[in-house]
Formats: sequence, structure tokens, C-alpha cells
Amino acid sequence: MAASTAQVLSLYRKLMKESSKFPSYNYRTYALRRVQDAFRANRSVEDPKMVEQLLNQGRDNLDMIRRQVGLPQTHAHTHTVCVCVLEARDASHVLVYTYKTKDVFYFNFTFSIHESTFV
Amino acid sequence: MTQYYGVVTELIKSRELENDELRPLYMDFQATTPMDPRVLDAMLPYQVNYYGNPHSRTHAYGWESESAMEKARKQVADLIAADPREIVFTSGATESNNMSIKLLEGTIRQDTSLVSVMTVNNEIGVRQPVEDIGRICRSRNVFFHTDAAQAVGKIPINVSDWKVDLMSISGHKIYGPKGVGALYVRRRPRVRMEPLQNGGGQERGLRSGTVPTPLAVGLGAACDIAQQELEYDHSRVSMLANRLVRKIMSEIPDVVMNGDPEQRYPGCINLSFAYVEGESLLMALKDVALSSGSACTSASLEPSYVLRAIGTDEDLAHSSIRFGIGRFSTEAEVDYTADKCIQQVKRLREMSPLWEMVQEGIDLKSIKWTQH
Repeated sequence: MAASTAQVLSLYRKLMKESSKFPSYNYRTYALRRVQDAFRANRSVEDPKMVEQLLNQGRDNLDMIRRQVGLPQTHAHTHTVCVCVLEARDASHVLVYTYKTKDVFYFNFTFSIHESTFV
Repeated sequence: MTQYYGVVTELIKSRELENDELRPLYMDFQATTPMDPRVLDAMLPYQVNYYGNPHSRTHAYGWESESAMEKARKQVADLIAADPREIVFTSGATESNNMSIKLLEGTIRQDTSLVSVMTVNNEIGVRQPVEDIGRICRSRNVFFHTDAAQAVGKIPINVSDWKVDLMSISGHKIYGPKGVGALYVRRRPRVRMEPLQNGGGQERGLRSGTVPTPLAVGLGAACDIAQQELEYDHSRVSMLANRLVRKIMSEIPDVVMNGDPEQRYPGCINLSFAYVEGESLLMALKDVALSSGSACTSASLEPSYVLRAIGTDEDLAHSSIRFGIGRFSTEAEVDYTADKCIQQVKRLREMSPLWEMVQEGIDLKSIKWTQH
């Protein structure tokens, strides 16, 4: 059965979705980046056997990531200095620093304070 | 929008991050490395369900454990182009090093000696010319041991090409578990060994003691992953290292990189910041996990013996910081580290009377310091 583009894309999306669930900043960024780079590098592979082999590798990795993000994360540290620093000014404003852009945003609406928002 | 005020207040109150909730960035990959999730994934079954002793010969628990151990052995061997029969599992590179030295006591002849060299230095990242050393040792009939803890999985290794007789491998330097390592012992020409640890005769009598299957499996998985990822990791680490060094050196003067610029592993960067004390810079960079020299000697206040050996001036040796970049480092972490480093060096130099004198054009070496 020849692998279709749809299959490849579906696997890619699943991998990216699962990878974004790592609580650890370093594991999460690595997984997202590695998946993206691997798919990019193998973009022009034509041999159907090779494609099938790569897809199987991808599926194994997907299972592995699912198992790893499913582990109890009681000791996983989620906040490293790099991601963001939150400061409450008053009830209506929240100051957010992002190290990537060094911008300062003022928000007066609710947003999810989950690390993955900023990565 | 006003309806959200109440929610925001609550969110802020419950999620205000304390300072100690923020962990520093990890930039000390030479000291140790986090386990790769793939390594942990490989190890878990053997920590939970497949708990048999690999040396038990009479039941499935033993057989499956042994099979996993032998698979791991092959993975380690493949990474350094060796035969699996030449790999002995140990508790780490330190034990492997000690075992190799014991060889000297076991087989000493008039003309036998042992050359022992680190493949990649852990403080300045310099790579030794092991191929040349191996060739010379082989021609003089001298055993050659190398501690490849910082090199395995980071640069291509071939024990046959390098003519290495003994090689130490460490698990926790290559994103594997702590407490396990390996020793490569050449079979042809045979290297006869005296065991350091006696007991039940495991590992061909060279290292008695039950091989810890989960740890061995972890080491094997780490080696397997390292082989797959070697090129990708190397180019990425090189890119990040260049980014860090270029950023720092372009913003502040009087920064020296210690160690050969060409013959090195890029992920270990040792910089000396003139007129700034190393320890105070480390303390100032408290949200980045760094070190000034090797972890094994960090308890002492002496400057690094490696820097002294390469002829670094005493004052520059005291000003050195080691930046470690690894598989999981990000551009954001490198940029943050560089920015913080530049900022703190500038601040510390502002406070330094030596720096003031240098700015005025005084040559520090010409000063005659008097005693009070």
C-alpha cells in the first residue's frame, strides 16, 4: 500500500500535537524541532519502501512520545527562566516578558498561563 | 472586557510564580546530561516488569533480561566500531579508567607501559590527536587507553582506525542514565586484564557483579540514539556555539577562548573574561547553570589544572567560565545566556579598579605592587 501525502501529514500533525505536551521546556522544544527537521529532511524521498520504513519509525516515535508525556510528571519542572516572567501590576494588568522578542505586553483579558503558549 | 477582571485577579493570585519556582537554564552539559526521553522509554520495562537477573540461566526472566543486555552491548559496540565481545559493562568511566590502569600491574614487562589520554577534554573541549598517538603506541608495542567519556556519540569513533586498546565510556555524558558505563577491551591483539572487582565471574571474569539490566539497556539506547543523531547534533551544537561566542565577543573586549580553536568539540566552550573574577561572574549569572572548570574539581578553589597546563596566565585562569551546549539546548537559551553574560561582565568591570587602570592605558604587567 503506497503511502499517501495525507498519511504523512496526519502522522506529522499527530507527532507535533503529542510533542507539545511535554511539560519540560527542553524536551518539548527538542521534540517539536526534531520532528519538523526530520520531516523536512525526508521531504523528497520517493522510494515507497523507504517512505514506509520512515513512516513506521515515525509511528514508533509517536508511541514513545505518547508514553513519555503520559508519565506522571510530579517532579517535572515547567518554568525555566527563559520562557517568561510574570508580574502582576494590579488586578487588570499583567506584565509579560518574552525573552525571544523582549516585548512587553499589557493584557487585561484572561489567558491560559501554560508554558506552551509562549514557546 | 471588564467581566474578566475577576478571573484575571484569581489567575494572578494562584499562579504568581515565586522566584524559586523558576529553575535556571541548563548550560553545563559536560558535568552531566539529562536523559533522552527515548532512553527512559527503553529502560522503563526493565525497571518495572522485566526485572530478571540477566545471569539467571533457568527461566524466562533471566533469558529476556540477558537478551536485552546483549542487545545493549551490541549498541555500544556499534557506536565505536568494536565487537560486542570487547565491551565490559562497568559502573562508569571512572571504574573503567581504574580497570585500565590495573592492567599495568597485571602484565608488566620491562618494556611495557600504558599511555592514557582523554579523547576530548571536559574543561576546554580540546580534541587530542588520538589517531597519531595510537599509531605511535602500536609501533612501540605500548598499550593505549583513552577516556572517551566526552567524545562518545559526539564525534565519530573507530577503535580499529585509532588503534586504541582500551576505551572508557560514560553513560551520563551521552544522555543516558547515571551509574553505568563501559570499558572497551581489544581482543586482537589481546589485552590481558586483571579484574578490579572479583566475585561471581560475570563479564568474562573481568568485572564481577550483576549487570544492572535497566542501566545497561539505557546505555545501549543512548549509544544507538547517539549514532543516529550524531551529524544532526554536531551541526546544531556547532551553530549554537558559534552564535554564543560571536555574540559575546562582538559586544565585550578582552575575552579569550581557551583551547585550540580547530581541534575541539564545539559544545564545550571555555572563555576567560579579563579583569573579572570567574566565581563572581558565575554567581552573577545565577539563572544559568554554568561552571568554571570541571565538576569533579569544583569543590576546590584552585584554578583549573587544565588551564594551567596550557599556559594560561594565572589571572585569566581565575576568570574562566565553561559553557556547555548539548542536544536539548535552544537558541533562546543561548541568546539569554549571552545577553546576561555581557551585561554582568560589563557591570563587574565597571566595579573593577584594574579595568579602570586598563582604560587609562596603564600596562598592568608594569605595576610594582607594594605590600601594606
